[in-house]
Amino acid sequence: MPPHGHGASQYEEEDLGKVFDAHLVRRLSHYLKPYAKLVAAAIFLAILAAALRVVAPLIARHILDYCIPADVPERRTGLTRYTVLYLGLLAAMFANNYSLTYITAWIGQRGMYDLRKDVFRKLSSLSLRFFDRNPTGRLLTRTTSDVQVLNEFFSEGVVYIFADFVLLFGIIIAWFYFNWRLAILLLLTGPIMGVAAYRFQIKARAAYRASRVRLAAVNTYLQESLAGIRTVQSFNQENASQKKYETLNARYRDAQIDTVKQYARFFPVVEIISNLGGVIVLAYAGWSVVSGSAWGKTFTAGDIYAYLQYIVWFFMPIQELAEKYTVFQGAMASGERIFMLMDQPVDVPDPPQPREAAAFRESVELRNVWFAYNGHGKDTPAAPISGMLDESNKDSGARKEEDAASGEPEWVLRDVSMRVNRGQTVALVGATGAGKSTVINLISRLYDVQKGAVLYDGVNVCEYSQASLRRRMAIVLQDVFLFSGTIAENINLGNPSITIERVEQAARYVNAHGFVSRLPKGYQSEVLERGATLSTGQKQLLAFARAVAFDPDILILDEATANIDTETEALIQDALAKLMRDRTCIVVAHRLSTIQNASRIVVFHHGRIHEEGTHQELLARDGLYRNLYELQYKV
Amino acid sequence: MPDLIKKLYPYCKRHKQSLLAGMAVVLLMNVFYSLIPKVTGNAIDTIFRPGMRMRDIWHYVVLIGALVGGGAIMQYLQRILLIIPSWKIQYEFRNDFFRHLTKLSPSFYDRMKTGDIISRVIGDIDQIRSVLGPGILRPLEAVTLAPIVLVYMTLMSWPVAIVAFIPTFSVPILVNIIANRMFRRSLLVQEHFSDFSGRIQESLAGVRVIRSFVQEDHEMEVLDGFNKKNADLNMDIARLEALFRPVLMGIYILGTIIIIWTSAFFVTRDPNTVGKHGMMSVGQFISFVMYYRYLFWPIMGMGWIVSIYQRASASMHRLMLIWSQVPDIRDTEETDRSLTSVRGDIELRNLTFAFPSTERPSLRNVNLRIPQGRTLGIVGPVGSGKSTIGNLIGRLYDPPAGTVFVDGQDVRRFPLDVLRKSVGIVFQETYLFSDTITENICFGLPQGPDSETAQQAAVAASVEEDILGFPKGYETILGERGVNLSGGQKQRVSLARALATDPPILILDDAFASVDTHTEERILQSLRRILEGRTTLLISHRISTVKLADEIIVLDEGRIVEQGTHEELVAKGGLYAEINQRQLLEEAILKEEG
Repeated sequence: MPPHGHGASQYEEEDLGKVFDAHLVRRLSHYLKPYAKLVAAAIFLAILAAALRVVAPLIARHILDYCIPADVPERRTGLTRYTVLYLGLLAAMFANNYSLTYITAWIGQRGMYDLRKDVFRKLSSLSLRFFDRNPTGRLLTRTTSDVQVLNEFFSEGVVYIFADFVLLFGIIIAWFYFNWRLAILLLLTGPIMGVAAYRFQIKARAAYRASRVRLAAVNTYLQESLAGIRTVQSFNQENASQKKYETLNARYRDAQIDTVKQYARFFPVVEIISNLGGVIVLAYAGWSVVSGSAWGKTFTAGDIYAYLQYIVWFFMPIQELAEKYTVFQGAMASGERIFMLMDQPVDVPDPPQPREAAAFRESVELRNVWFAYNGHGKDTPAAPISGMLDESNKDSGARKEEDAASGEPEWVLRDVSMRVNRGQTVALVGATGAGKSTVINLISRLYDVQKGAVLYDGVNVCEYSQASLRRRMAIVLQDVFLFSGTIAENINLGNPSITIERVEQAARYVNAHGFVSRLPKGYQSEVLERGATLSTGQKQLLAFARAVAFDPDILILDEATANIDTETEALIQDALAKLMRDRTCIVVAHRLSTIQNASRIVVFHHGRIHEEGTHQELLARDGLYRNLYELQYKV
Repeated sequence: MPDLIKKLYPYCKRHKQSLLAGMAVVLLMNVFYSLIPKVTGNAIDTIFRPGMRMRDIWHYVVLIGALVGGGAIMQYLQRILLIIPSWKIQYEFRNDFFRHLTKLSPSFYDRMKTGDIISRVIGDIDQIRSVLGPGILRPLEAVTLAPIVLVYMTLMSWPVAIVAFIPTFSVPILVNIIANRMFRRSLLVQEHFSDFSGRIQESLAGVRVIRSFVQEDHEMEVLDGFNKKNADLNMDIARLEALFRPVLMGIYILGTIIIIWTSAFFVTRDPNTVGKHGMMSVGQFISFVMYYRYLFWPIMGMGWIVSIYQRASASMHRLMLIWSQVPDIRDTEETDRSLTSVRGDIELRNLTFAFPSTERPSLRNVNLRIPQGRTLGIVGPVGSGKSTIGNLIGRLYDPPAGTVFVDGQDVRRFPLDVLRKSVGIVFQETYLFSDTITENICFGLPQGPDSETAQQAAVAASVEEDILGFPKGYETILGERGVNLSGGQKQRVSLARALATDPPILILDDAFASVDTHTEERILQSLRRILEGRTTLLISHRISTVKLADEIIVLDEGRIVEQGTHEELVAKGGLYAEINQRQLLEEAILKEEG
């Protein structure tokens, strides 16, 4: 595509933030509280550092004025003493700087660690509804780069800004102490530098932001082109995509050149202003010598030396303060996003006094359940679970879910009532989207129902602690999710109470031991790329082993439909039969063998229970089940 | 290092003028700036000379002003002339690298993770640029400034000068050691951090499993471990960093102290002894200390620069691993340039093909002829090799010589752009770009987007209605930042994209998998007229897609197991008939449900 029109803009996203938000700063400072003593120590060290810096030129001044002239040897008496003093000062500065940098880095890292931990904890309290609505990538950014940005706030932000101010004031005090007239003259350069630095910061920041945004655009396009390389090549568009890349790249280059120009202008200005300071000192010294000691003491060479040193130190904090401005802006934006996440209401909460779910005795029951994924839990106020984090929803087209979230719920289950007694195996069947998998999600309370209730041993699941309830059940999902780690870790999920013997026993029980033991390192083999090297059937068997290892009272199974080779299929069927034998089982069933082994079959149709009964009963009825049955198993 | 210079030299050559002018400017700037301490020293001596008049001081003030002004202008120019080309070179370098990437074949991308490539392009190219910008500027500064300053210092007082140089020249070695160690540690942090975010991503993606098995606490523990390790590794860097600045500062101040102490023996207030036996005046002493500052930082910077060079060579080495890959599918001496268009006869002869890095062939001994303008249907289970045929005809993978023929010529003889322009493929996995719908549909058009073509193609692909349903219609931007299309909509947009280029050969690889049968029927109806005169391959797992084809083949495990028209195959009662029977029932039930 030729570089034209808005070709580049859609890859770019501007983000502007406030520089200072009192409420946010308060919340962020909360994370510094545990380290209050260290922060205080750092501030003390910062003051000390400034003091040491201010004192150093004084020593040099003294040496220069009183000890140096080589042709007056008797005046050299103080030389050793003052040199040693200077060396002592150097040692103190060294120790001080080292500990200051170390302490602030430590505070930053700890603050970041604590904040990240809180974000993780928050995420683990949010329901699946939240995860359905927020793409993984976005949540990942919250926990990684957004927290990273705040590091600078925790470490450099607070302490260093303070340190810069202290140094600035220290130098000004020293100036006044020596000669208030010269001090006033030199102070005039401060605002000039301040204005120059401030204006530079504004322009440089804009240029920096532009370059960052444009770089992101270049990289996004690069990523897209590589991911779609097959499309690019099959449409013979290598040159066109090259052109587009070059356009984006040129925009980035121009932003960088702009930044270079800002710097190219600023640095000479700094040089001019600081030399202006030097010139003022020289002129004043000359004037004071010429006019005699009309006003106080005459200038000495040592005074000139000290002043010239101070001028070097004077402009540094001014420049740094201007830089900190950018750090703060970034921190505020990230902080805002993180706290937005932290403020999400917990929509599937544990009750204040939760019951512990005891071993399964009687039944699990759905009583007149209505459920919609886009609705809200019935106990939660209609808080916008979505909206808040969905900052990227600019276009409203094709966002049915979002529209529906604010409008009518799309019922997935309508007035469903069913009961599974202890020891029974119940098969749920029906077309895709009929609501079978939803039933599974509700029994383990991954979502809350809108109307009706789910009961475990006659008590509403909302009254139990979620952890105790879920410990009674094990779920095997259709898409088996494998973590990176060993096979064993994927079976016991890293739970140390499930020993490697238990793991192997479970794997043997579900016929997974065969293929696992053929892997190069057996149970200690690493699962690569989420199990890409394993077949679908093998992954199923691992999921069975996982469920068995946790030894649940109730087994919940969502059978996979994917094609599985005949050999593994036989192993799976055998394993399933064993699994269902002495347990309460709820199965979303696709296999004929599974269905035939079930004590009862519930047929779902458009979110309602269409028919119910044993295999024979349902076949005799000649209804939907019979049709489904013929479709899938009789060819 | 040799790689780095060899590769960068041609780029630098292109910006020769600017770079050379920049070097001259740096030299000039240093002449200006290095005079300032000397003039300042003279001014101070004048101030304390008896009988001094204010006019003498003004004289110096003006002189310093002129030097600062001249230096400042050069300082401005040096950045313009030296740093800007570095960004331009980076720009050219990135473009060339991207060009190379677009030429590498899909089999390269099967081997190498996209994420890896991207991190190289981002991190490594940046590393290389820093060699061109600061990497040229700083050493140049040091090289031109150091001799001038050294001469001045030696002239003023050679004994003090000798004493001052000792700590200064040990600094770059130290800086280099610390910088390299810091770099190694920051690599460790980066590596760990990428594992960390990988783990976070997993625990976000696997949230269902974690909740179901009540593993939240365990998960927290695992993440906490990463979190802690991340903080620890960062502290490893902080420890070095905390040392780095104070050590440099310390050496600098130590140098100053040594100068001051030594000067006690070499400074005189007697103008007559100045210049004899290394004796200097008070003013010269102050300019000496100023010179020391001028000398110290550029020399220190050299250590840093060496480390930048070392990193950049490592980066270049990593880039060269990709850059040295020769695109394996490209025009060669076999290519026949006289082939400028494609009619559309396709023939496969004894085609056996295995994807690189796999052993099991995905096609075994396939023989097939599709005359120009005819439609071939291909059905078969997952992994039977259906998609491979399309990939080979479009030469996304290279078939063995003498197996795939177009218009009676081996596909390998066609110029790549001629072949690909003539073969339109709609993949099973659609890939749309974050662009407007129009731009996506017109992706393959050499003359660029054109709304009329986009609309015609959209109508033909039965997706116009959907498009007009969006507030911005054809100008709707797709992807993460825009609108997410449903699977079916995506497939129809990519069908429109293929139709827009009007190719003589069209390959639809399970292009309707996410579309319901009803819509599919509608699309096929409207496609009828468009497919006329085109050679078409309909690859599908659905009978309804292929049943109208002139001929149908059934693939299983890479072999053709059945072949014929729909009616013939149904009558035959084999695998095809079986699949057909099942799908008919499915349809019947859907109708009942609907």
